[in-house]
This record gives sequence, structure tokens and C-alpha cells, in this order.
Amino acid sequence: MSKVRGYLLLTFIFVLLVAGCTPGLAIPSPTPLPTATMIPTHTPTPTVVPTPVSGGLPAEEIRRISKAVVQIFNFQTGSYGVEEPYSMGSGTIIHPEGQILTNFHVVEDASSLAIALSSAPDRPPVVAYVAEVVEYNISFDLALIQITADVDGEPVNKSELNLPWIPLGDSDSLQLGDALTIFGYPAVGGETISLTKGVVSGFETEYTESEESMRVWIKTDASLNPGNSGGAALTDKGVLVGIPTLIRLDIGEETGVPVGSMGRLRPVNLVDYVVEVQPLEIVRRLLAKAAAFQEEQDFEAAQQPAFQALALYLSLPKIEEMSEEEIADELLSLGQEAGWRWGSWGSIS
Amino acid sequence: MGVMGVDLLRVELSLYLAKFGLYPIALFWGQAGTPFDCYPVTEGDVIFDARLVGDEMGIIFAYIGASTVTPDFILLRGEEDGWRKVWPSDPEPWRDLWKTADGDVSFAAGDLSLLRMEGSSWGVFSEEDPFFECHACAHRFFDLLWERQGDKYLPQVTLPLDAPYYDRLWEITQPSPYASLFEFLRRLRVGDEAGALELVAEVEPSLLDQAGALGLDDPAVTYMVEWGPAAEETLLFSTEDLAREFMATFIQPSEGEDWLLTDIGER
Repeated sequence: MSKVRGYLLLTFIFVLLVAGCTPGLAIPSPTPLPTATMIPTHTPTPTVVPTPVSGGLPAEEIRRISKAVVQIFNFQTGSYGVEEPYSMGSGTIIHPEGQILTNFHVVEDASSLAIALSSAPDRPPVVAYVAEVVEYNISFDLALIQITADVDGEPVNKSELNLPWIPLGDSDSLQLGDALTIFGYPAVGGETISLTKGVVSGFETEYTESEESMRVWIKTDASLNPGNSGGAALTDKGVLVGIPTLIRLDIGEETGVPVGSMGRLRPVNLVDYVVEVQPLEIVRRLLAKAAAFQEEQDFEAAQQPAFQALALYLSLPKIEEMSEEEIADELLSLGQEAGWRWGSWGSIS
Repeated sequence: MGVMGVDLLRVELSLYLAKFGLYPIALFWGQAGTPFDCYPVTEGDVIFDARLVGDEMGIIFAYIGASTVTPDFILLRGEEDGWRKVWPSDPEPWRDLWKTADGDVSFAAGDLSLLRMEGSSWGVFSEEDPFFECHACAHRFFDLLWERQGDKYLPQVTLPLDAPYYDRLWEITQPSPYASLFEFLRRLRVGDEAGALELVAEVEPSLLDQAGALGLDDPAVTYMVEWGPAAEETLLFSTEDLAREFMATFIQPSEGEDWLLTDIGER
């Protein structure tokens, strides 16, 4: 059998990207795969030929995002009743009051969760908070956790946290070939945050009970490794569109070595299946989405989420009790929180 | 980059007009608890007034420029599948009389049957204009009622649509010394001596000769009104390069009538 043919006989192994102890998985972690030397250059034809990523997020934006992507330590009670670090993964702060989106498998069975934040891309994250799981969805492997205390166990006032955060984007609007930037704390990346780039290489969809198609996976050629789990996949607009969750390793049957991999992200729109999101929170997210487009000067794209936000906001029952001035004032505040930079009448500069 | 603020008008419970940022003025309606429907109505910067009559809604809004506010009006009709714009619709030949710069649009009746339009000549530029009407300069002012006829609003004027545009514009011009001077010189410059004579106090053809002798019938020259210590009946104006200065005096035979020239000369 030729060498090339041998590579085509593949076994697929899906690997959760959690680092540390990952019971039941074929690939031991944290020892990373020596992919740089083992993966042949003539890999099997990928779903999409990767295109060079140009442009991308500006340096200032990368620094901002780096501060909003956290490392999560999953502590579990060991056999002697002592809490021990069991695994680690990544998470993304999606609200300044300390809401963090991550994978369920990152926080699964945790007796406690420690959150480490990085002050700069070249500095290791420092454990600063303790968090608790608020909501989760096992099917989609997603979880929402909330910072509840500082590292000393002192309860925190959420409204005073004012943490850097990343707005949620619209994963349904992603197109094949769109550029993605992945942030996280893979075990192979050393102690500091790692950034990899790739493109949207494909999607997997399922059908809901109402027979609507729903994206359940985004495939990407971006390099993902254990530890990336729960991190952030962002578009060039700086909005969160995916949560790195799995890699699929293609193993040559004869050689037994990996010959290729394809990363899988959970689309961020699935978050709505994780938590019953409060309408006002959805308004905030829509405004944040509009703000992201506005920053890109793409006002045409921004109009839809802006109007969706307004349509939802005005339907809130409390609105009926409010005066026009109160409504306008709250909309201004919500917009400002979401990153809108309000100008004055007669001027858009 | 900043986007403009929020302007909101509650037309009735669960029916809102909103100007949100720099996006079009839009109508939002529905049942509380379920996201509202949305219909982008028109470009515009601020909502002034809205009136819902049956299944129709008249909306008065405005565009805000660097130095002027220009009100406008739109009529919508609610249909089974949402709202539809009824007026203005293309073509609207009478809209050349819709002049609202620095003016106002208001409902002139208890329903949607009548609109009052007031505005200035700011922005109404034409080669026939004898005066340069910068925003800070003198202007003519227009006042006109628009009456609902079917799905259209038509101006309450006597001249037909095919009458010369400036004649139709003159019909809706508010009397003022400046308006009369503007129109007198314009008519003179296009050779309409009979028309110019209508704006002279007494039938005194020599005033036309006098103006001609001063070169005021030269269509290549543009003038500016000088603001100064002149009485209401007197206007000082000069060529744009200020090289020559003129004075015109007027009388108004009676309230509401056109002001008439009594004299014109160089200073």
C-alpha cells in the first residue's frame, strides 16, 4: 500500500479541547501532539482550501479582547476530600458584571471554579475570581458561569466589576471563508494567551422541532488545542461568534498518527438554548451587535440589529408605564452601555 | 464616529414612531410582550408630530442640516400586511411648491384633510435669481395650505400647474419689501416689463427706465441685501462685490397686499 493511500485510510477521533485531566479520551493531555513534525504537508483535501488571512483585528482590539478571554480552572474534590485542580479551559466574559461563556465540559463536575485574567497578552493570567455555574446545556456543551467572589472568597458586587467583555455576534450570518481569530489558553501555547487564525471551513446543521435548520457546529482550519475549550472565536469585527469545543483528528490507519485535524466551534447563537435570556439582555446584545457594525462604519448592517433591539425593547410591558422621555433616556443609556457613541443632532462626526 | 440620539413619539399605546441613531424614522407596533413589528418610514432626523385617523397616519418630521431645519410630511396607510406610504408618491408635480426650509408643517384641520406649509426660499436657487440668498441673507417666505384630495395633497392655489414656475411661486410668497424687490428685478431681468410694472407703486414707466439705466436688468449681476438702519419701507442692496450700492423704497397699499416700489436709485 502506498504511503499516500495509507493516509487516506483514516480514523476520526473527536477530542474535547479541555486540558489537564480528560478521562476517556484517546489523546492524553496536557502532553500535546507533536503536530508540527508529524502532520505531512500533503494532507488530505480539506473541506475548504484555507485562504490566507489578511487584515484581521487591529492590535488595540486584540489587547482588549485578550483581557476578556479568561482561563478557567476546574477544581474537583479528590479522594481525600481535598479540592484539587482537575482540568483547565478557557472562557469569554460576555458582560461587564462577570458573566462568562464557556463549554460545559470545562466546568463539568467542578466543586469550584477559579477564573484567571490576563492584564496583557505577554503576561500569564492571574487567578482573581471564583465563579459558579449559572446555566448549562449538555447537548450543546455550553455553560454560563458567573463570577461571585474574589480569590479570597469575598463576595463581589457584580455591578462594580466592570470587566472587559466581548459582545456576542451573530453566528448565523457567518459565511464560508470568513476570517476567524481564536483566543484561548491551550496547554500547548505556554502560560500566556494564544491567538490563532483561520477561516470558517464549514458548518453542520440540525433541525429543530419546528423544522427550522440550526447551525450546531462551525468548522474551522484554525489551530485548536486542549485548553482552547470555551474560548473565543471572533470575526474581524471583534464580536464573539463561536466557542472552540472540539478538534477532529484524522488518524492514518496504518501509521496510527494524526494526518489532519479540523476544529469545531459551537455557534454563539446557541447560547439562547443555554439560558432563558432576559429580553433586556437580548436588547443589550442586539445593540452591541449594532455597535460593532457601527464601529466598522457598516451602518447598513447595523440597522437590522438596531431595529430588532428597538422592536423588542418597545414591546417590554414596563414601557407602557414609562413616559416618552424616560424611554428615550433608557435607550440612550442602553446604547451607551453597548458601545454606541451618541452624537448630537445634525452631526454624525 | 457618533450617531445621533433617540427621538420617540408615542402615537398611541403600543404604537411608536422612533428615530434611533442615524437610522431612518421607523414605526413600531404590536402587542406588549412580543417583539413589535417595524416599518422604516422615511429618512429624517427628528419627529415633530403624528396623527392617527382611522387606518391612516400623518407624520410631520424634519431634516436637520448644518444651519436649517426642513420639516416634511408623510402619509401612511395601515394595510393587512403592514404600513404603506401613500403620500408623497412619485410623480408629484405640485411638490415644486413644497418649500419648508426654516419653516413649519402643521395639521390645519382636526383630521388629515388639510396641511399648512410655511417655509423660506433658502435653498431655492435658480439662474433667474437676482439675489444671492445665503442662509444669513434675506429670504422670501411662503405660506400655503395643502388640501387632501384622494390619496394626494394639492396646494390651494389658483394658477394651474402649467403656469410659469416663478408665477406660481409668487402666488404663495408672503408680501414683503424684499420679496417685491426680488420679483421686480427678476421680471426686469427676463424682460417681463409688464410684470415688473405690477410691482411699481404708481404706473410710472420711468421707474423701469430708471432701473434699466442703473443696469439692474443685467441678468449677469447678483445682489445682496444690506442689513442696516433702514426703515421697513426701505431696502439697501449692493452688488456681491459691494462695488455698487442701491436703495429701494416701498409702500404697502393695505395689509396683506404686495409691497410696491416707490423709488429705486444708486447711493
